[in-house]
Amino acid sequence: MLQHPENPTNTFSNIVEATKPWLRGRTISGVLILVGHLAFAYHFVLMLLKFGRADGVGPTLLAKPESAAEASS
Amino acid sequence: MNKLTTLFCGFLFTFVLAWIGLVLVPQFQFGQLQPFVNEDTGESFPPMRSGLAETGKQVYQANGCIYCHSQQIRPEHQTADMARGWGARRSVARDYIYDRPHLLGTMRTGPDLSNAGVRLSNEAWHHEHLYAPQSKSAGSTMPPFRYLYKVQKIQGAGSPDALKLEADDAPPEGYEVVPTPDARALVAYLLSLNQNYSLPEAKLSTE
Repeated sequence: MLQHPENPTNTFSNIVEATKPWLRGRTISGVLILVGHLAFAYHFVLMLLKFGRADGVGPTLLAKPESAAEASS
Repeated sequence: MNKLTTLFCGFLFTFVLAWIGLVLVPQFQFGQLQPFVNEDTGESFPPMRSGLAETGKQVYQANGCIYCHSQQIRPEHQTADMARGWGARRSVARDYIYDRPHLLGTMRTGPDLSNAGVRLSNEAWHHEHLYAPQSKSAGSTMPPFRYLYKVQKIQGAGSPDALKLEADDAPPEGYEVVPTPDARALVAYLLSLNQNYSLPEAKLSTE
């Protein structure tokens, strides 16, 4: 079943058959990446609109070091 | 030296080097390629495509055929392309001088199409294959391109271009499947794919 793709006795339909599990894997990973992108976009918008933290620190990414130090102490 | 200046010089060096390697050198190598004219017959190679086939190339591009199909026969000694019967000789730069953009492709989820017009020269076969790929090639992962076809009521004797479809692919009783202009152009393009001519740098082995 598994043969080198440059072996001409390995028919092309055999190669196509061998790619199918990988194509399914690619579909699943594509869905996971899509979900990840949507989750990131959602949180990014939340951060920009300052909906993030209940304690009102705002976006931690854009916070000045002093306020970050205060927040951690 | 200022750090920004160093950074800028680094960027410049990177881009200039890439430009030389990817644009300038290939331009010197292939930029002046002319069609090969056979002195005896006056024929010019590669052959020019018909207008319909050129329209079909745009359909090929628009439908992303390149994501699964390459159009390049690699050298015989390292690869099985020619042993598979995909072409009679390797592809060379001159084969693509009329292609803007060229459609060499990098993926072979489907077979190579450099010589699709030679290997599969039946127009009806291509239409039926595009409409229902698995009916022609069992186990194929190619998606059907049914939106390139129109299902219509049979008028009188029916259209002479109606697809001959079987079993599940067949339209309901009293209806027929006919190609749209896009489908006709695409098939004309596929039939025009042919590298079966000799060039000085890549001769057919029969000569």
